[in-house]
Amino acid sequence: MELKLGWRNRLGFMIKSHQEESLLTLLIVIIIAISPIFSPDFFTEYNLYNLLRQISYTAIVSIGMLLTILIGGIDLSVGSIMQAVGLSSILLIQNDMPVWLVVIVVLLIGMALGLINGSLIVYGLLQPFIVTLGTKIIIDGSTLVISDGKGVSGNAPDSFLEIGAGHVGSVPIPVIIMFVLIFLGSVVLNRTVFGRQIYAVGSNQLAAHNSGIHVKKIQLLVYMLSGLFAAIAGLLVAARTGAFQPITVGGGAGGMELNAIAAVVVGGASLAGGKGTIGGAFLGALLSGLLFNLLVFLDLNPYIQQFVLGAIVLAAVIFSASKRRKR
Amino acid sequence: MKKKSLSIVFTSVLAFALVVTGCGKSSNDSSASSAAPASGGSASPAASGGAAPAAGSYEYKTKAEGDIKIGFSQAVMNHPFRIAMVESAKKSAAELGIELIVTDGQGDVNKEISNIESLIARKVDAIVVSSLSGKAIYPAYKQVAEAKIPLIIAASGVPDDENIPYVSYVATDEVQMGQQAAQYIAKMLNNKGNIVVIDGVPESTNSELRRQGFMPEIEKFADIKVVAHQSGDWLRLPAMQVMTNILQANDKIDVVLAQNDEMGFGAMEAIKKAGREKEIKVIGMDAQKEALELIKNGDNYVMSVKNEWSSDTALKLAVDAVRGKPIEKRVVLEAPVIDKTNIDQYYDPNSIF
Repeated sequence: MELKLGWRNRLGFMIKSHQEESLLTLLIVIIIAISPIFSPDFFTEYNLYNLLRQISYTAIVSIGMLLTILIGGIDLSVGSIMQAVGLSSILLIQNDMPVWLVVIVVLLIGMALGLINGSLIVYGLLQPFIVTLGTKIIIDGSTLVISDGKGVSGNAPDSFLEIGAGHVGSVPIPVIIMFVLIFLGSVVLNRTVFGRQIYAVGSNQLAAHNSGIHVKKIQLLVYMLSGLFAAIAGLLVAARTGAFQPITVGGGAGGMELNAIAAVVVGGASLAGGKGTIGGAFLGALLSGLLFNLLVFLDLNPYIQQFVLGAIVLAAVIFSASKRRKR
Repeated sequence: MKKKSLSIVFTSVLAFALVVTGCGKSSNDSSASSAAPASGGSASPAASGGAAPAAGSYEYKTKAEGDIKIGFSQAVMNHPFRIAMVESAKKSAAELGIELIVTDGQGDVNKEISNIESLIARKVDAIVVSSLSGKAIYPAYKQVAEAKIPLIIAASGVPDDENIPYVSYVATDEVQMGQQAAQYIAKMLNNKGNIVVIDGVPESTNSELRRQGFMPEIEKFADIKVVAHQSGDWLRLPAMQVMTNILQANDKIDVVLAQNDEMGFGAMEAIKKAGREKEIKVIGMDAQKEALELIKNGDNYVMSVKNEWSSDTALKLAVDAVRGKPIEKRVVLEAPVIDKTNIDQYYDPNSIF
């Protein structure tokens, strides 16, 4: 009988098993649906692609953040890795390194930094929060030393700027990269042994170990991937602006780790590990980007966005907690 | 397995170090050339509407009549100066009878660019940008120009690349502010004395420019000695600590120049604690309200060079651009020297900054 579920039931099942994602989707659809009331200029192709490009950096970083949160860890160094990668790519471009090689080198730098995080956590048996906080500060310091605290701009060739500012058809390249990564990430998480192992490690490390999963290897790989995703985002930002700008007032990419954590949590992930989806993380990033974008169309006080976003994060956590209690 | 992973870690670290140090050397030369100060007064008119457009000029949409909607992209809204800019923009928008949309970049260039894109999408008639992001903001300037929207740059770095499109650049000349302070000190000391200089965050553009104006000018006076030159990070407390140390190391100081008023207040606290307020005078910059009160009511804090925070001019220029009037490409805002002789002219107890 169960095999013959109609589409209605299947949809019902999907909504039930992905409550956070469904709620978020509903919320986003409602906001977009009523947006024409506020401004006719909001729901246009130009603004749609703007919005997607604006969230692409956070969404990409969120994928890596989700992985670390799934295994019960966290990565506070992603914003700093973005900055380090941004600086490295601009410096390498200045030194006339071919663009394809720059891309490879900076992605390797991101993975190497992730590997350092992972190694300290796995082999040093240290808390991910403290380790990545430490490496974050070290990386921040290094970028400031290397850049002398000043902005650096390379006479970047068009082929480099194209990565950040270019389009395929009318879709911006960062948006395409974001969707490809979301698709690949979801497939890996849901359809491969590695993906199952990540969930297993996050749900119960000991049980995962006892069932023959190489827990340390999974952890190392996850932190490397987090570094890689941060590096991709950093590269896209550098290619977008063609310049490196040190964080001026404690904001900037320095706040990226918190944005990514917020996106992941709003998307239904649990900081305890073992629960969360890439789709949810994307929706979380989309919602906060949507609010930020909408502000300009609603003429709202700029300060209010942070207020609303904080409220949404709290609401998401309360929602998840109430579900747990019911069980 | 363990050994293998460790060696991977080491090689990666090494690779990162090599990549980074190998390239670090050439990084300085490109960022140094940030300021080409326009000589005082006004610059040549923009070529909009004229025959041959100069580099950086572009054709933009104008509107002879009808409602005007102007976007104001502020880099960050957690500093009194930047907040005062926004407040005054709102006020003058109300006076000019135009709609103003303010966005806050939260100190992040990506957010700034996003905001500017949103303003373009919102189809505003002109965009005023106040950015601290150096060259990283240029792509957004280009987008504004591509959308044929007049761009007014206010209180940001001067675009040093002549291909960067904009309609008008409005700001005080920071170099000139430094020069004025130096001339004032020389006059006050009759070309002879010991001075202390307290810089802001040394690598910040404004600190660099104010220093560029001040130092060569003060060095022209052979008998004026800079006995100490330190940084107070733009803030009161660090400046006070730095000044305390300087006071211990120097028996004779006549004047302290602080690159902003906040640091001037810190230096003055230190001087008072050391009981040397009769001997040492303090000079600040920015002319914020608190400084003007000190100038008006006390004898220690003698002068401050005004740094214009009002967005009046920028908004008027934006409106003129929308209405298709010819506009000056570089507008230098007045940076008067304010001391006891002219304090009443500038002190306004209700001022926002």
